[in-house]
Amino acid sequence: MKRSDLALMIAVAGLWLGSATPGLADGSQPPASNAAASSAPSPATPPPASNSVAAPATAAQTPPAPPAASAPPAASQSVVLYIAPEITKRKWSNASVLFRPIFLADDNLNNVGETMHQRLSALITSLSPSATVVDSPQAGGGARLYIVPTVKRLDQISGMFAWDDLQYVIELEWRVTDASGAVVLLETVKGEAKGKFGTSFTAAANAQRYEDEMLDKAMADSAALLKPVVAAAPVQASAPTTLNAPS
Amino acid sequence: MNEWGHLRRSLLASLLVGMASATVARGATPTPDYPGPPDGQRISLDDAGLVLATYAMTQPQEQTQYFGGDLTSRGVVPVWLSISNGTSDQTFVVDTDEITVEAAGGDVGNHKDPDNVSGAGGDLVVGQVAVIGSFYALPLVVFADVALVQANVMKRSLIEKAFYSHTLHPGQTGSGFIFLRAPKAHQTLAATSLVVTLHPTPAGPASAKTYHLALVAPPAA
Repeated sequence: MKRSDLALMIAVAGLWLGSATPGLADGSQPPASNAAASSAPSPATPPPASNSVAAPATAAQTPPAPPAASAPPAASQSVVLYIAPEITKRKWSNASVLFRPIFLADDNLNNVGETMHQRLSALITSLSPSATVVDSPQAGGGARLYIVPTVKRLDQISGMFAWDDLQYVIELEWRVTDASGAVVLLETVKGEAKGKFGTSFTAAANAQRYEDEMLDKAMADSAALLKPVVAAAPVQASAPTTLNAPS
Repeated sequence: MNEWGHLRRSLLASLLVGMASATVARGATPTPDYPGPPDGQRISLDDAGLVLATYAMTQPQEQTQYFGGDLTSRGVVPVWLSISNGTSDQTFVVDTDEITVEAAGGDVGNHKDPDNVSGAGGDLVVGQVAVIGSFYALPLVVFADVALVQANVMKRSLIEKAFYSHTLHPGQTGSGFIFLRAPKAHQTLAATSLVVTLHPTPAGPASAKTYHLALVAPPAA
């Protein structure tokens, strides 16, 4: 093969395999942790009738992680953020979407869950400096506000080539309950970042930049959503920038 | 210069340009926002200021316009749901995880995750196989990429237009699509209803309200 042919083939491969550089793959999500991190129901497994339609009209709303009676009660004016371990454990693969399943043994996982944990903690403590961050639902008993984020989606939408669009998206549901367990806020915010996939030489930097942009937007919208609730007594929040926000 | 080598390089370059233009063209066509169905087509329920409305989008043309593809052929019916809080002093919470589907026979199901609708995951597998197995068969790769890009357009539109959990203060409206399994041959949408529960907040004497929303208007008497 001539050198010019070889150079052309390398150029093709560089564009073709933009995904051969760090990216993420749906398959890299920890299967055991998807219950909370991806709680959208599956059509193949309809829920038992007892927790779906048959709910009586007078049913009380049940928060997902009620404080346990045996837990030491927190200060009555405190704000508690519960970050489920499923969020923190989450990892994204840095390996190629194309090649990772085939031969790669160690794909240098991206600890996106740790990043999420840090971002969420920083967000709440910026809104309420005395807030407590817990990783066990029992530790929030007695709090004035009990805040539970749920990652409904943490995903990338991409093609295969360097010039294909790449979108990172996170859907973050915030559930805030008061000391009595009543839900005072339930809203979903969305963070996203769009751009091109990039070549083998640029995809890694692109991926990091998109991840940061996605989280920045999600945290900014979350702050706007939670600030009125956290800063004052549990009152109605002003209309935030949310996913399909109420108008 | 070897003429065969020159021709081969030209063909390869042409294919590259073709792939790029095809992919860019396909990727640059996001679906438009859904403005909501005309008043005459939505089925509304008014309860003391709370207005709930549904519209089952069953026409493939309309689905293609707003979702980038025919969803019915994928076994899915998108149902537009709107909840307007017209009360003066009551806030309601609606949790999408509590929205369920009820069939006439008492069957209870749930709605679908957008990921299961778009089929993007399956297309990705197809793409992987095509890419790895056909380095020299670029046309196959183009097809795989176009299919993946098309699935991605659909996935984006499904995510953007879905109905999400909301806290509805007085005067606010939340709307979006719930994705239902298409009824089987012996069933119809007329026998299916959407069950939505609204929780008042802060908790007070008022109790949660559960509504059974029809998806097809009953025949005129």
